[in-house]
Amino acid sequence: VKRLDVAGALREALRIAMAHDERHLIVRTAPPPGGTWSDELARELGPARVLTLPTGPDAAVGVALGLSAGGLRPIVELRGTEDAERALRQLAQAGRARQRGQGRLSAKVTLRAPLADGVEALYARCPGLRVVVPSSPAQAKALFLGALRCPDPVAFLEPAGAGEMEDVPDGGEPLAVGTASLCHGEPAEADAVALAFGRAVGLARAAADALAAQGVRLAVLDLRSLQPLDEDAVRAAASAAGRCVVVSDGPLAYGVASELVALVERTAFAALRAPVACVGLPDVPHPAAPLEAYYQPRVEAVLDAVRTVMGTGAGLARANRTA
Amino acid sequence: MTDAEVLRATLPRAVLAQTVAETLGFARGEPLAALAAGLALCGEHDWLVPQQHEIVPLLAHGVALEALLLLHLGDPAGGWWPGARVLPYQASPGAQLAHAAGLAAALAYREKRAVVLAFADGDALPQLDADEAMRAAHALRCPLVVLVTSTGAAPDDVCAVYRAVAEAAERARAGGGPALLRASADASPREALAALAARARAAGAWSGADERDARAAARRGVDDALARARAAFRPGALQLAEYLYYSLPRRLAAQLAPADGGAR
Repeated sequence: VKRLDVAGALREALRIAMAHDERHLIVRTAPPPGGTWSDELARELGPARVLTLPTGPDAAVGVALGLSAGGLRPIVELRGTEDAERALRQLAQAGRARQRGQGRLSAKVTLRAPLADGVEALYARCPGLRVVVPSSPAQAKALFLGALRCPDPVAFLEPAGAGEMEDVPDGGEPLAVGTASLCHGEPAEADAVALAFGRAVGLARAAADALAAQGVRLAVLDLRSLQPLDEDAVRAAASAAGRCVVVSDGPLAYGVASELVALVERTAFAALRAPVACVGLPDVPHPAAPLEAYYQPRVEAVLDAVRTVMGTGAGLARANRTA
Repeated sequence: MTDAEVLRATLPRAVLAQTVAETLGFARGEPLAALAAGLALCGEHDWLVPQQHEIVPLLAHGVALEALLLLHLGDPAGGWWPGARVLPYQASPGAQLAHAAGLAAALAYREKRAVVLAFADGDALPQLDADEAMRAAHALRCPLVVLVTSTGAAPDDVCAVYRAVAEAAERARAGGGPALLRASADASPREALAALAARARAAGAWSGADERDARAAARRGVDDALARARAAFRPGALQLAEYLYYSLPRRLAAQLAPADGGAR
């Protein structure tokens, strides 16, 4: 066991993966003056395993696709939201490449990029591409190893500041892409369930702790995978709890939050005792640092949302009884 | 290959390309430069990276004409090219060049003495895509040759194109790095073909009988392949998602099931 943050946990995962399979290469654009997470690996493994390209992120993803067609398993490093957005065209090609070749050629590319500005929704809209977001260092390590094993191209989106330092197991046990997990409470015994991903999982858990002191039980489902969503787990949790709060690490409109609300309405409507409430980022551009505190959702917002579904739920229940 | 051999090998391909273009109603045929360039690949591990409309150069690399016609009819199953060292068509012009650089890097990494020849339509190619792909290829010393064909006042000599591509390919194969070549293509492939045939006849490398035989063989080959492609075309909703994921997501299957039932 080592005490690591998300970056350290991912470095561990990369070391394990690259030692285990020589087909894994890191593809990156020229590192900035301050260096990046892959510098240490570049020194350890040499330029043959860490390819530094004098190109933009779109071409880097395109080169990675070609490497994959040639039998390798590239891992692309993207830095900053702008890189993540600029890579979108070739990422869309990654999703379609296997279909164009009717399964003849691999399009196995794993992308590591920051989660910001709603990029998760852009990526999740690329057919053929999987999208995962970890919520803690230990999960990041296992989920990244799972992403490398997934036969589809995967975008691994790192939430800024997700999870503090925590104990991360030494082994290389992967976590399969596509599954959610309950990380707090049992929906069947809870007053409401929070559906959350990325850094929002920590918010939801903090809200659950605060609510427990007031006698309110909030279960938390960590989605981990946004494309595909674990629809069975979402439906089961929402149906069991009857009240649902979406806590998103992305923008509220036209994104994962909206998708989750639609999914819950579609699959668990009969069990709902209140409309689903949402907490997430406002639909504005990512602000400069001094305004960050007004942009990121806070625990208080989750508490308010839970109180809303509880209050609305009670009202609806009364109305139903009256009818 | 000598010039006469290049002419002799290019002309049947050009006739076939023209027959395919007329059959499928393409506004433009394949540039003769691309047909001649394809002759320059000879290594057993060499790969072709097409853009979207090339047909004849792919045939020599193991793609069946029937599959290509099936694809052009709109059936994605025509993208199944077993054993062919050819990347799939690319709908986003220029995106294929970065793929070609990566593929060439992978072949070099795996120590195969191979060359990747990529085609690009210069009339539609974003300059940034060409620049970035070549920068990446230079950084990785990829065995890559890119042939960009643009509509010009007069087509380049196919023999010169062949020689340039062959030299670039051999240099790349020997570790000399990538090359980008530009060639002019005539806006009227029919006129370009007529001029090429006249030149070949003057050189004693082509005759009227050769041309009649080539046209008859092309017509027969295209008609047979097209008949097989039409017979094989079985449109269905599930084709929309086939091979998109390693296994079909349940949600996608549910989305497509009503359309599939309706089509039947």
